[in-house]
Amino acid sequence: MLKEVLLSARDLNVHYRVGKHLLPSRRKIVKAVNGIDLDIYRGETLGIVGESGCGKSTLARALLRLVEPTDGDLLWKGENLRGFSKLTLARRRREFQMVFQDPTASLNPRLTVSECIAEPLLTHEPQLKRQEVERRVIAMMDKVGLLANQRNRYPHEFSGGQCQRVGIARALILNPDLVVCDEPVSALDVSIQAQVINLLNDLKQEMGLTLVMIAHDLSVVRHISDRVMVMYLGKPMEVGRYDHVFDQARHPYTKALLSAVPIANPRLARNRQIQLLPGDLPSPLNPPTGCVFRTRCPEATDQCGRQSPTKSGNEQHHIFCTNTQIA
Amino acid sequence: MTILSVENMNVRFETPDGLVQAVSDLSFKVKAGETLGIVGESGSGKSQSVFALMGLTADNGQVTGAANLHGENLLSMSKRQLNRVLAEKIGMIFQDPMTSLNPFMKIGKQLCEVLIFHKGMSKSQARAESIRMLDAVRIPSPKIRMNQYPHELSGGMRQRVMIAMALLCRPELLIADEPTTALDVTVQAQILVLLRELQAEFNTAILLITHDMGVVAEMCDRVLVMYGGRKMEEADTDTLFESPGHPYTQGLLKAIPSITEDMQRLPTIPGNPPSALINSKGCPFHERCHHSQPVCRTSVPSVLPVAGSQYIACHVMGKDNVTPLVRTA
Repeated sequence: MLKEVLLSARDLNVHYRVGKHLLPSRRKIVKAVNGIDLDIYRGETLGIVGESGCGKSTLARALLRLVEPTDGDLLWKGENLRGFSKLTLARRRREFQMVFQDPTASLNPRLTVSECIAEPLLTHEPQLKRQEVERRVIAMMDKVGLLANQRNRYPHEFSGGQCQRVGIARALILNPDLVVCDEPVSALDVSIQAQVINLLNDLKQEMGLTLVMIAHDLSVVRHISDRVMVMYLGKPMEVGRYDHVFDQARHPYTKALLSAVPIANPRLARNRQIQLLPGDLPSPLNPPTGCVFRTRCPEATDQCGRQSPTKSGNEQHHIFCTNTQIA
Repeated sequence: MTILSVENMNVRFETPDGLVQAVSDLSFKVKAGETLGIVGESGSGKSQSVFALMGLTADNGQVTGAANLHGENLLSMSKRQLNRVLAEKIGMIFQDPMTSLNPFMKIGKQLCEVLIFHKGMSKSQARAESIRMLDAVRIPSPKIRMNQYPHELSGGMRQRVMIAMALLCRPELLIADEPTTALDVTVQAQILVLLRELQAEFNTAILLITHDMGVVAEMCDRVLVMYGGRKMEEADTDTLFESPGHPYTQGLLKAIPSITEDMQRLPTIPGNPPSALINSKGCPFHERCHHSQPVCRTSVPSVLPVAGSQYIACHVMGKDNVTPLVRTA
């Protein structure tokens, strides 16, 4: 079966000029997202993992044109997303929505929960009658596990998990095709986190959603994703089916990342080998030449500083590595 | 040997919305050289209980009970006495190293200050000792770092500086409140390994506050699980993970997704954490508990032993045991 590509990015770049030089052209450049190729298939969940500063959130925003990409192509259902005019983009936004990390900060504290959820509907379908809006809001609240009698409360009256449900309801009320979730559970407690993960999975089945999950918690990503992309300093390191990436990781960075995750099992934890990466993330202002990971890579050779990594492997599982022994 | 023994500690806050009971009847002991973990979700009272030990409770707070450190009760001391005892015996590291370091002072000055003030060292002695400690926490080129400001360091480096500062006076007990929560996993792994190495080197007991069961499994000898301001379970780490006794601990452990195995659907704990405002008469967990009985609504279960060194506070799971036990060994 041929899978339909919903959104594809080709050589996507997001660069920021930083610093205070008088001439903008003389300011330094941070390459937050640096040459990403990505296809998102309809119906899948793509997990994007990486440490802070790897560009995963910028990538998520750039995919939806919430930040304007500096360079590269974006195709949404075969159409050139970057060519959309402001008006077209605003109209088409209903097809791709976003759920944000901090559920309390991303809701307007002066709107009641039902007003928060209704807001996208009122923007995109202003002709709707009040009763219809009300009906849809209540149906949506029910779907995300909120009670209809809570609809006139304000966000501060809810717990973090409930606020995140509101955030999800808000993103889903327009029946989008794609929902990008930027760290949707990282601000939540474990017992609440599991509820929200299950909710996202259920809604995905029920509404036929395609999800992009940005997260730094690898076990959450494993649990929810069909495919995973591992990023480091704005570059992809390893991409593949979740089980391939987690069980047969090939890239040295993925291996180190996986080995660093604390395991909630003391016997396993004692017996495993943690592969510590030396040093810190290099400054994105001045990334290493060649492979960006080489300064901390246990497998780095002289070659890695001279030559950019090449893609090796198939569509199901590939890595970007210069070292021919690994690639 | 027990170095710290906390008995029936209560922490209450007067707020405009009413009385908030953050910690209720908490008792525990820390032995020399061991790592005791306190786990719990937000609002479980885990941070407030160590803040109370350190005399950091906010002005509207009231602390009762006892916390004996070598026979001296930390909770009834004057601010002056407490400062002296804490400086010598207890070091503390906080979650966010950026907000706990002074952004206007060079790292070196912040470290030296501690030694000059508490140990009466001369400037040059303090400087030499600080450099030695930065080296001990594996900070490369410590002499250069001494002259830098906190913002010039990465998050992991700042946390190392915090650890160095906490260990300067060679405390017997290091209290670490979510020391790696703000860090990335690879940096977290570095810091956890460092803490273990330093613990062996300086023979420091660690009281580790965390919400991450993975960190507990990696670091702790014993674990105390808190919920709604109360101790729900206490056990050695292996026992807790292999045969958790309290329904809350059981639910919590099941709700963690695995990184090595596929899981169909995550078992969840229904409902939301309780509000500390509602001073319920019963077990704080009863509303979310699968095993809840009428008695759970009306009376607070006491902490009783179930097997060996495992203690739980539950009417249902621990009901066969009748020996009441307030303090745990």
